[in-house]
Amino acid sequence: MRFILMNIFTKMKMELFLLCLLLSNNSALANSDYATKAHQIYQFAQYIEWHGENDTLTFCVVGDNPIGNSLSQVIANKKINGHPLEFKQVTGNQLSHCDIAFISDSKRGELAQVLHSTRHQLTVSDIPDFAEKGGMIEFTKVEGKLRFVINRNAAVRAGIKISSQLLKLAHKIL
Amino acid sequence: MAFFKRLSIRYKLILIIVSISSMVLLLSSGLLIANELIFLRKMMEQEVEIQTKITAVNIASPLLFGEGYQDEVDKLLEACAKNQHIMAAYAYLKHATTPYSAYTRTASEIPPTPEELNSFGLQETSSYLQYTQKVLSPSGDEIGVILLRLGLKPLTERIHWYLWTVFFILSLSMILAFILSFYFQGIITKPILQLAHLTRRVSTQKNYSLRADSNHVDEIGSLFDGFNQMLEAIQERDSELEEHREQLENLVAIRTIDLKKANQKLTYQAYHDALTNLPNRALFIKRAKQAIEYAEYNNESLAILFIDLDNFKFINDTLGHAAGDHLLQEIGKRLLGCTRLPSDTIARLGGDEFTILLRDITDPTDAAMVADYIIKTLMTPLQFDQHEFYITPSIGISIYPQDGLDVGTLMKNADVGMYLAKKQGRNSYRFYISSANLESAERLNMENKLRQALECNEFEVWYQPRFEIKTGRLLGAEALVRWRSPDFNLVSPSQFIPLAEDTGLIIPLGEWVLRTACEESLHWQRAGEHPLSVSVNLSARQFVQADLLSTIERVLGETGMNPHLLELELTESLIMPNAEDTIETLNALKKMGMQISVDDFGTGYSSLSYLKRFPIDTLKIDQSFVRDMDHDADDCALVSAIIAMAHNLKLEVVAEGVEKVEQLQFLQGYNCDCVQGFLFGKPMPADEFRRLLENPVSPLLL
Repeated sequence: MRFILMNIFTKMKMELFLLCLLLSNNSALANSDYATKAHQIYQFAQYIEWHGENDTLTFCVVGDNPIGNSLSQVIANKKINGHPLEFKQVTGNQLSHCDIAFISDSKRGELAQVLHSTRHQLTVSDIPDFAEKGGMIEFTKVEGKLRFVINRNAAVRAGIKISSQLLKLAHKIL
Repeated sequence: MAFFKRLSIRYKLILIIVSISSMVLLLSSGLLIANELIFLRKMMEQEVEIQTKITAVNIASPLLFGEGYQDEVDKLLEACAKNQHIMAAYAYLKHATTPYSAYTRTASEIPPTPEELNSFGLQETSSYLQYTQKVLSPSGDEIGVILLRLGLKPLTERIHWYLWTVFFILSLSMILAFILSFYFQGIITKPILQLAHLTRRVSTQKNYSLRADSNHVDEIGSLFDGFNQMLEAIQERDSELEEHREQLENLVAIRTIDLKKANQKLTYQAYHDALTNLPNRALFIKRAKQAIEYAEYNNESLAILFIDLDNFKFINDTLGHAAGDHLLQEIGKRLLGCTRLPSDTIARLGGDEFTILLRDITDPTDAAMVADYIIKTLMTPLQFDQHEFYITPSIGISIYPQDGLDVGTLMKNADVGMYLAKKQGRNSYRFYISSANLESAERLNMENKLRQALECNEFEVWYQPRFEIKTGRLLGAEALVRWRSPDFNLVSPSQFIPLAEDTGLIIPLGEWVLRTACEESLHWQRAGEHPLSVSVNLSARQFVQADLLSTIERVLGETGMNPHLLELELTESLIMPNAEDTIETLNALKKMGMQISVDDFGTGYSSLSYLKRFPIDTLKIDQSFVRDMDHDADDCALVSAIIAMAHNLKLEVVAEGVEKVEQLQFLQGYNCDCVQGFLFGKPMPADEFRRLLENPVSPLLL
C-alpha cells in the first residue's frame, strides 16, 4: 500500500510531500513493525534445535526496548517443544543467560562488542548489515516487505542449528 | 448346441482350442489388470498422501510467518502441480472457511466443503482422490489445513489402455490359436478322417483286405489296430462266406444241369415212345396241329396215314412180347425209311398202331404212293430169332382239308379208312370215304373196340341153368357171351353180336366161346351123378365157315370135352335159307356126337318138313311166346301146339324166358320138357354157376 502510494507520489514528482508523509507516519509504522518482528522472533525460535529438556528459553532484548512489550506479549504462556519461555531486558552487555537475543538499533555503535560477548545465543537485529557484521538473523526490508537474512556460518560457529524450513524462507543466506 | 453337433471334428477341435485359449487369456489378463489397477490405485493413494504430507510440512513455515510469505505458500502449492495428476491444492488457515491459498488446474474444480476439510485423511469420489492434512507448527500446534486432490484420470486411462491391449492380444491370440489349431488339429483329426475314409471305402467296395496304416502309438494307434483286427475278422468271415457261396453255387449249377437233363429226358419221354423212340401220340398231335395251321395259312394239303399191323397180335401171343417188341422196333425203322424227314412225322400211338403225317402234298396220290411204298417195304420178311415173319399193314388215309379241318377228325377218319382197308382184305390202303355217315362211324368205332376186346380178353362167358320140369333136376346150361368193355361196361349181346357177324369177328369170338364153355363144363361133372351138358350158340357166319367142323373137332380134342354133352344151338334163320347145305353140316356134327337144337323157334319162317329131315334133338320156344302165355290165349295155343308137334317129331322142348310161376304151370300142363328163365336163374358168371351146382334141383319143380 505504501509502496503503491510511494510510486504514485514519485511519478507525480511530489518528493517533498512523500517525505512529509513518511515522517508523520513513522511512529505508527514502527509500532506495527515491532509487533511483526516480535512475532517472527518467536517463530525463529521454533525453527532452532534447542539442547536440554524442558529448559526455559530466555528471550532477551539488548539495548532500547521498543519491541520489548510486543515480544513479551507474544511469548506469554507459550511453549516451544516443551521449553517454557521467558522475557528478559538486558541493559549491559551480559547475554550469558539469554537464548535468543534481539539487539536493538540503539546498540548499532557498539555492535561489535555485543556480538563479541555472545556465545551460544541466537542473535536477531534490525541493524543494517547486521548479518554481514557477524549477526545471525537480520531483519531487512525488501520492496517494502519485511524479510530476513541469515548468516549461516555465524549460527554454525555459535553451535546453533537452524532448520532448513527457516533457511528456505530467508531472503539471503550469507 | 445343435450347430456345434453338426460341425466336423476338425472345427469342433478348433473351436474348443480357440475358446479355451481365449478364455484362459481373458481370465489371466483380467486378473492381471485387476491386480495392476488395484496396485495403481494404491500407488495413487500413497502418492497423494505423501505429497500432501510433504507439502503440509513445507507449507507450515510460510504459514507460520504470515502474510509476507503467502507467495511461498502459493509457490509450494504450484509446485505440487508439477505432478500432472494433481487437479487441485488448497491451503487453509486454522478455522478459516476460505482458502488461504489455492491452486486449481482447471476452473471447474469445486472447492472442498467444510465437512471434507474436517475429515482428515483419504477421501474418494468417483472422479478423484483427495487427502486432507493438518498443517502443524514445529512445536506441534495446528496452524492450518491442506488438501490435495488427485484426479483418477490416469486410472481410467490405464483401464482403457489395458482394455485395448487385452482386446488386441486376445484377437491376436485367437487368430494365432485358430491358425495353430488349424494346423495341429490334423494330428487328431487326420487319422480319424483317414479311418472314416477307409470305412467308407470298405463299405462301398466291399473290399475287406484294406488296412489302415498308422505309426501312432497312442489311443489312435490302438484304434487303428482294433479297426484292422476287426477288418481281418470280417475278411476271414467274408472269405468263408465266399467259399460257402461258391460251393453252394457249384452245387446249384450241378443240380441245375442235372435237373435240366432230367427235364429234357422227361420231356423226351413225355413225347416219345420208349420202345421205338418214335414220337408218341401227344407229340404227333402237337406236330399235326402245327402242320395244319401252317397248311391253312399257306393253302397247302397234308395227309395223315393210320397204319395197323394185320396179324401182329398173333405174333405177340405165340412168340411173346420180346419178339413183338423187336418187330415193332424194326417196323419203326422201316417206316422211317419211307418218308421225307424231317418235315414228315412218324409216330407210334400204341400197340401195333402207327401214324404218319405227310406235309405239303400236292395231290392225294402222293399219300397213296407213300402207302404203297410202306406196303412194299414191309413185304420183306422180318427176322427174329432165326424166324421169318410176314407182317402186313392196313393203312387208312385222310387228307386235309377235305377229310377234316382238325387233328381229331383227321385221325378218326384215317382210322375209318384203315378199317375199310382191313375189311377189304388187309395189306392194303384205303382213303377215307366222306359219305360214311355218323352211324357207320360209330359202328366202326364199336368194331374197333370189339377187335381190341378180343385181344384184351374183355369177353366173358355166362351160364343160364336149364331144368327138367318132371324131375326138377338141373340138366345143364346155355353158354352166353358177355362183353365187359372198359368203355361201356356190360354191353348187351344184341348190340355187338350183329356187328361181330358183319365184321367176321364172330368167327374168332365164337371159337373162343366154344372153347371156354367146353373147358368150364368139365368142372361141372361129378362122378356118379347125371352129367351136365352145355349148349353153345353158333352164328350164321360160323356155320357157313368151311373149317367149322375141323375147328369144333380141334376144340373138342384140345379140351377133352365129351361131344355128347355139347349142344350146338342154331337159329331158324340160320338153318332154313340153305337147307340142303345145312343138312349136310348138321349130319356131320351129329355124327361127331353132338346135340343140335333150334333156337328162337317160332320167330322165323320154319318149314316143318325140314324139321322132320334135319337131325335136330331139341326145339327151344322163343321167349316172346312164353312171356305172354299167362294173358294171351293165342300164345298159349301156339305153345301147346309147338310142344305137341315137337313131341310128335320126337323132339325135346325147352321153354325159354320163364319168369313167372303161372307160365311154369301152363308149361307143366302142356308137358313141356325143360325150362329156362329168370324164374330159375338168370345168366350168371362161371363161379356163381359152380355154386349153384351144390344144389342142382329147383325147389319150384318139386
